[in-house]
Amino acid sequence: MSAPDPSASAATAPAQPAARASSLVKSFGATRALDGITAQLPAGKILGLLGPDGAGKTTLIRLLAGLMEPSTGSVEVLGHRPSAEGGTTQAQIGYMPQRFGLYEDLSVLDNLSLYASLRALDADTRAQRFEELLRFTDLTRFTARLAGQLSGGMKQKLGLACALLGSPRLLLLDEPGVGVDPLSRRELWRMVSELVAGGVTVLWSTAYLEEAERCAHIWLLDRGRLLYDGPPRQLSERVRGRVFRRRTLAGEARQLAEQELAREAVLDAVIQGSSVRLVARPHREAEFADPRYQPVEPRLEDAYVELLGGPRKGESLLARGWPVQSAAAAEPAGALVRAVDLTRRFGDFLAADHVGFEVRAGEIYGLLGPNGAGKSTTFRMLCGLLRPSGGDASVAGVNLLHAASRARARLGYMAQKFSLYGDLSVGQNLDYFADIYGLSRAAKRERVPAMIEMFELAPHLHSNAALLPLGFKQRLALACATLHAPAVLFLDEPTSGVDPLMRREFWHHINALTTRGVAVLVTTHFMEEAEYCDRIGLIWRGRKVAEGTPDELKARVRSARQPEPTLEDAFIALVEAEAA
Amino acid sequence: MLQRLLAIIRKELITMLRDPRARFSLILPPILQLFIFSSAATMEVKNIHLGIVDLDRGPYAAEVLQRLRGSRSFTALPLFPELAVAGDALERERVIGILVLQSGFSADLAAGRPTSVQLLLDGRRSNAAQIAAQYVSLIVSGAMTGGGGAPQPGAAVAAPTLPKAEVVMTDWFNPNLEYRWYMLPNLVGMLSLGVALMITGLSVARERELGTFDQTLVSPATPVEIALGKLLPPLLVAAVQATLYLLIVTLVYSVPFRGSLLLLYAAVLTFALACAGVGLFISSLVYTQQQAFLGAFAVLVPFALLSGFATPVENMPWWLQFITNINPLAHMLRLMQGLFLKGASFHSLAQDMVRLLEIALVTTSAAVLLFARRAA
Repeated sequence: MSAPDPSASAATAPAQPAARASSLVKSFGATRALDGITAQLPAGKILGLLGPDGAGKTTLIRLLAGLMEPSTGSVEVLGHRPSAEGGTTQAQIGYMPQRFGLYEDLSVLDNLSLYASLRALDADTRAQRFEELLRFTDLTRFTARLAGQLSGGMKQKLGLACALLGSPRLLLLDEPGVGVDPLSRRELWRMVSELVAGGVTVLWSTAYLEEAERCAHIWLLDRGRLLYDGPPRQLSERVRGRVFRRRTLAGEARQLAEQELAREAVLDAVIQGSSVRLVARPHREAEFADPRYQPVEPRLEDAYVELLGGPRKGESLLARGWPVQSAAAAEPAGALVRAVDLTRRFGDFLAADHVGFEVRAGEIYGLLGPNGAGKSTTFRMLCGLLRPSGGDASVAGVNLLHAASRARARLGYMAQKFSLYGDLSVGQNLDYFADIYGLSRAAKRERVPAMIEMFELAPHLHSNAALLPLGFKQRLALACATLHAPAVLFLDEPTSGVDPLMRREFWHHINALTTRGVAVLVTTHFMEEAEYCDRIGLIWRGRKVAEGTPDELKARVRSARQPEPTLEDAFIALVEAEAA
Repeated sequence: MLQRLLAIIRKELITMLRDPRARFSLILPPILQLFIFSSAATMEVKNIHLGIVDLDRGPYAAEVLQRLRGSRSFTALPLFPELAVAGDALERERVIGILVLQSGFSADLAAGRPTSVQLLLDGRRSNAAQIAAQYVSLIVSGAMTGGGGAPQPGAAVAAPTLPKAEVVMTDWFNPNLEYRWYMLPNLVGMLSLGVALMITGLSVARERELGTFDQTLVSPATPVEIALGKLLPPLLVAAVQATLYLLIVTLVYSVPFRGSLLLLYAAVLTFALACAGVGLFISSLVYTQQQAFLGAFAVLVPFALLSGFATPVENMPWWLQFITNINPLAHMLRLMQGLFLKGASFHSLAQDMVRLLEIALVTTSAAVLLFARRAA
């Protein structure tokens, strides 16, 4: 397999930057999506555009693609202003929007033809490019299939093929990794690397740190500002010598992480399976000269967290104000979530096939798997959103099939997408969820103000939930999900797309809640999130193919070739073993 | 149960009313529609031209012309020398019809012989033509002292039979045949149909799109509570709108309101419930607001056409008449007509009211059942 048409792109001198922005500002009403960006996009490399949701990644890409005009400042792409001279520049830019920009009701070939017509390719070029690109993306067998019926990974490849139709010199990929399983993500990376070898410049926007880490160069965006511009390695070098791992016994990592984080000298402490990863504050590394602290290779995330100022410290007020759980104690076996042979059919398709597991009080259980593998189906059956075709499910000892309402009263649910009422104010949202969960007047008077205080929502109490900053939205969602002090928390990809600090804050609360006996069920395809779990069930093609602690899963794939496998490595190896 | 239901209703109302734009769009368009429709959707025949071909030129013909000019029903009465020229004007829609006074008309009348006049009408504009024919026949018969006539052949011909006795017409319930009097009470029904259907139809789909639907479904609130929480708020909106309409229709347009206020609100609420049931039914079937919108339109148009609003129910074939029987709008319109114009007693309206209540019960229970099935 070769990169399509490398000759056209190799002709340009790589010394010239592929794009440059100077004092770039883009405002939407009162909000500044981009706030003074000055940077150069080095040609012939993969540039990672990293940042949480709402940081301005998409706005920057759209400005580069010439789809909008800057408010002030300027953009130059391949030596021209993209929109003013649209015709020539845009012909050399390939743009893959989020969710790939495909027409789901058209076939693979129709999608290609449509984009070819939009690019005004003549018939000969068209036939030749189609053949090249279909071969490159390995979609030749699927030309007649509707785009809507492709898997996430195949959609991604088709999106890429459409973006590559015009043999672009600059390829803009907006979050190509979202909603795609790790296997497909790796394959996309390989294809893009081939393109880069052929001289194409690629801008790859992502919220995944491990993706950014592999890029030659990164731009780190935060609230419209450029926090860092340079090779990722150079950023992680800043914390070299200050990153340590402290091993502990299984099940004790959580308390240890809390203890370590409380220390003045510690900037950051996160759980990694049964060990704790620490970042020392500058010039405090001497305090870790103890054999218990093993120095480790710095990662991008360590430096990113430092750049953002480090996580907040202190006890979780959410856990401190937690009402005494009589329910958790009343459950003798301790299994607060029980799934037995859960099965769900959609027509001929078996979305979940005899999935079974238990989550004990105080335990965090992760359902890990790519999109479409069946983890959401399983999850939705367990919170009563989907009726199982077979099997049984109970929450806090209450059967979900026979006493759904009573069972649901015992669980708190937080969805991946912010799903509170955007037209209601913060206070109205809290009131609504307090009432809908049947809080008594006295309980409401106590819990609602407590939530407002512990999540510092008071200044936003009267603003519409939809208009809150991302971090506050997340706090509000957690507040609404825990107002009724549920015995079980269901979290659906709770921290995808947020920055590492928000993720730490969120897990800080969740970890603290487990000490109050709350059982937590998490779905995720996000390896960083999975590291917080006590146990993980790996879901693949509707079945649970592996289960164990993160360390156990990693140990299963440890080999001479992979002495230190990450959870993602473990995931890929286990899934590949299953597929073989 | 009650706490949860009230919480959902409160939430629905806040969602509808908190945003100034949403509030605006709930109040202003229906009022504008009321003003616009009441002016535009008139079936009164005004501003019409009638061509005259006078081949008689006798005293009775002059009398007929005199009377036609005297009545204010016709804007203009152009005279044509012969039928061919007049026919051309008819074809070009410059006149709605042609009155042909044959030669010998006056002579026949003077001699007491039965005679006739010919009226050619534009069948393309059947409604206006019919009304014009009525005006002409009244005037012509008034101009003559007696005699009857056989119909004359011809394209789109209506030959007025001339009654021997004078007909004195009085329109009950709407003595001056004010078209608005008929139109406005109907609009009250029509507009509340749109509101109730759209609010429920779109709200579930909207919540599905936003993900808030799942958030509510995983709470202890049962699907029945959620469904009721969706059905009741449109009733409140419909009641407020009905009050506004009542004020505008009676105060601005001076249409009399002769019925019982209690019955009016009962009718409005029951009707809104029936429509909200249909809306919820649609919402339970669809996933996006766009689908919900199309679904609402798919029922809105047949509801309106089969209600007696545009065409009399009596003129429809029996199977369509049966459908109008289960169309809540048909009953609502009769109720509104009765309440505004007829000042009818409860007994004469009871039949429609009871039927409306039955329809509401059927649509809401079907919707709640479907909703509960699809939600879990």
